Amino acid sequence: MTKTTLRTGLCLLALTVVAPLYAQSATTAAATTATTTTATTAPAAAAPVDPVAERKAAEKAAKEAQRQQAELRRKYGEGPYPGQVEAFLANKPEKLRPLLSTLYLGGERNAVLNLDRVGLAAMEAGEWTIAEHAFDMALTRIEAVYKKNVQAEQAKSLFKNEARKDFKGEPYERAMSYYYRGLLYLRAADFDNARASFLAALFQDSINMDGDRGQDFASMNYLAGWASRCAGDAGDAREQFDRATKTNAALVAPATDANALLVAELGYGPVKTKGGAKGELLEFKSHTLDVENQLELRDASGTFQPVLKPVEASSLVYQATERDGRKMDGVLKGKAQTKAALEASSQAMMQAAMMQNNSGGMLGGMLGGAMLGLFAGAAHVEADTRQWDSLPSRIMIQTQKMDLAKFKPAAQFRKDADAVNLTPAGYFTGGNDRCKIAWLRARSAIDMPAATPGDDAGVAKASASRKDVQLKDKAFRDSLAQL
Amino acid sequence: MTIRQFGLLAAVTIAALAATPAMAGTKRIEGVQDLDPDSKADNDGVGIASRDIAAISDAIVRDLLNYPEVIDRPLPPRVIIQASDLRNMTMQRFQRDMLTDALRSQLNRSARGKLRFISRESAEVVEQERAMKQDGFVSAGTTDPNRMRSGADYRMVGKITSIDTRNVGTGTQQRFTQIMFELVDLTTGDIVWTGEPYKFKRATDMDIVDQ
Repeated sequence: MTKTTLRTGLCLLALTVVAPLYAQSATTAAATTATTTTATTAPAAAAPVDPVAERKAAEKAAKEAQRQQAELRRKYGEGPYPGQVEAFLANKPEKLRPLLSTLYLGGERNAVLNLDRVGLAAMEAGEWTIAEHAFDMALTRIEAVYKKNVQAEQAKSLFKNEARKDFKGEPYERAMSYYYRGLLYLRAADFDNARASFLAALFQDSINMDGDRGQDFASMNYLAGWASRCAGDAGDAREQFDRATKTNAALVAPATDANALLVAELGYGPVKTKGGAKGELLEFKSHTLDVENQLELRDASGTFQPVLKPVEASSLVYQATERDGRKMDGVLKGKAQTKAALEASSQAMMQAAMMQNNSGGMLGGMLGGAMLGLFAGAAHVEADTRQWDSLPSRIMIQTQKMDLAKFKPAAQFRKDADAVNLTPAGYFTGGNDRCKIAWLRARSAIDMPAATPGDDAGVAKASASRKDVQLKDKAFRDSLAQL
Repeated sequence: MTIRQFGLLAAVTIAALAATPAMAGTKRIEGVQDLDPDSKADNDGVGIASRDIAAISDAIVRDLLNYPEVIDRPLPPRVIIQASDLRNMTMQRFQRDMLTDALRSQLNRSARGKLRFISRESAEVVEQERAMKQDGFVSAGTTDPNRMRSGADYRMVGKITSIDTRNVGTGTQQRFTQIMFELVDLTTGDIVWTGEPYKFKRATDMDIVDQ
C-alpha cells in the first residue's frame, strides 16, 4: 500500500480537524520619542533630522507592511490580492477586459484556453500586439514538454479529475492556435514564420494518427502553400496546394497573377460533451447556433466588380471528430471500469453481508461494502470538457487578383440558398504589395461569456487550494506583463 | 466475514485499485534566475535552442576565417549578412535575426578588419542622412560626404530545414534539423564558400494527457 493510499484512507476516517494557527507578529512598535529642536531665530527653519527616529519610523513601516502582507497571505494565499486585477486591466482595451480578467484569475491551468480566447478577441479588435503575444504565450505552453508535472499525473489518477491538468486543447484546438498565429504572420508579411505556423498546425492536428491519414486539414496545407508562394518557394507552394486539393477538391492553386488571399470564418465551432456510461468519453457535436455556411462578398465602393464566393476549405466539426480518439480516453475508460468494479463489489459485499447469520460477519461485510462504495464515489472519471468556444465551424478561402486597399467589403451570409442576417464581427487586411491577406469573421469572439468555458468549478477550487499551484499561478500573473 | 477480514479485503482492494502516483515535482525557481544561454536548459524542446546560436556562429567563424580565398584578399571583401537571406523551411517559428546578428557580430570581431560588413537594412536611414547632408540641412560630418554607398562583394545566404517524425504508439516526437550557410559572389553568382552543415536530432515524449 502506498503512503498516499494510506493517507487517503486515514483522511476519510479522520475525526479531528486541525485548524491552522498563524501567529501574528507584534504590531505595536516601541514608542518613539522624537526630540525636536525648536529654532530660536526664524520660525520657518526646518527641524534637524533625527536619524534614530527616522530609522525607527522606517522599521515600524516595514513591520506594518509585513503584517499586511501576512494578512493578505492568510486571506488570499499567493494572490491575486485586492487591486491587482484592476491594476493589470487599467491600461488594457476596454473591449478585452472581461476576457483578460478571466485570463488573469484563471491561472496556469486554463492559461492556453484563456490566452487563445484573448488572442482571437484581440485580432477582432485590431489589437495586434496583444494578439501576437497572447498566441505566442499559448504556443509556448502547447509546445512545452510535460516533465514531472504534478497536474498531468493527477489527471491520470483514479481519484483526480482529468480537468486537473493544465489545458493544452484537443489537436484541432492546438492547430487553430497555430493557424491564428500564422494569419498574424501573414498580416506582417513574415511568410517563413507564417508557413512554419501552418505546418505546425498540420502536425498538431495529426497527433495520434499514422502517416498521411492525419494530414487532412486542407486549409492549413493551402495556407502553407500561400505562404511559400509569397516567400518565393514555388516548389514547396505547389506541393502544399496539391495536398490541399487532394484532401478537398474544391481548393485549387491560386492563379498566377493572384495577389490577395481571402480567409473567412463562419459559424460556431464544435461543442464538447461527456459521453459513455460515466461521462468518461469526450464527444463532439455541432453547435446549435451554427447556421451560416456560405458567404458572398461584394465591393461596396463598386470598384471591384466580381462577387467573391470563397469555398469551404475546412470544417472544424470534421477535424474534431475524424480522428482515432484520444489516448486519454483509454485512461478514462480504465478509470470508469475500475469505478464500476468498485461499485459492483460494494453492492455485492453488502448483499452478502445481509445473508450472514452472525452479527460480526454482517457488520464486517457492511463496513467493507460501505468503504468500497466510498472509494467508488471518490473516483473521478469524467472527461475534461473545457473548450475554445469562439472557434468557427468553417474556414472559407479564396484567392484573387485585386487591390485590397480599395476594397470595401459588403458581406452576405447564407445558409444554403437562404440569406442569414449578420454583420461581420471582424475584418482586417495586411501583407505586402505582392501578397495581401484579408480576414473576415462572421461571429464575434469578443461578445462571448467571460468565464472559462466548460471548466469544473469544483476542480478549479481544489486545484487553486494547492500551494504549488498558487505559486505557479503567481508566476503566470507576473508573466502577463508582456501582454 | 470478521472485522479483521473486512479490513484486509478493503485495504487490499483499495491498494490495488487506487493508483495514486507519486507527486514528485520539479525544483521551482525563486524570483529571477540567470541562466547560461550557451548551455542546455530544462525547457528546451526538439527545435533550435539558445545554445545552438553560439555553436553555429562559432563553427562558421572558425571555418570562414580559415578560408584564404575569402579572408586573404588584398582589400577586405564587403559582405551582407541579414535575416531575410536566412530561410526557415521548418515548422518551428524562429527569429532569424538572433542567428544572423550573432553571426555578423562574431565574424566582425574575429575578422579584425579582414572582412567589412554592409547593412542593407539601414539603407533607408543612410539615404535620409545623405540627403540631409547634401541639402545642407546638417553638417557634412567628419567623413567625406561625397563618398559613394558601398557595393557588396558577397552575400551570406542560409537555410534551416528539418524532418519531423512521430511514433503514434509511444508518443515520441523526433526532429532532425540542419542549418546551412553559403557565401555567394554577388557579381558572378558563384558559391565561393559552403559551411559545414550544423545538424542535430532531438526527441521528446508526449505525455498521454497531450495526445
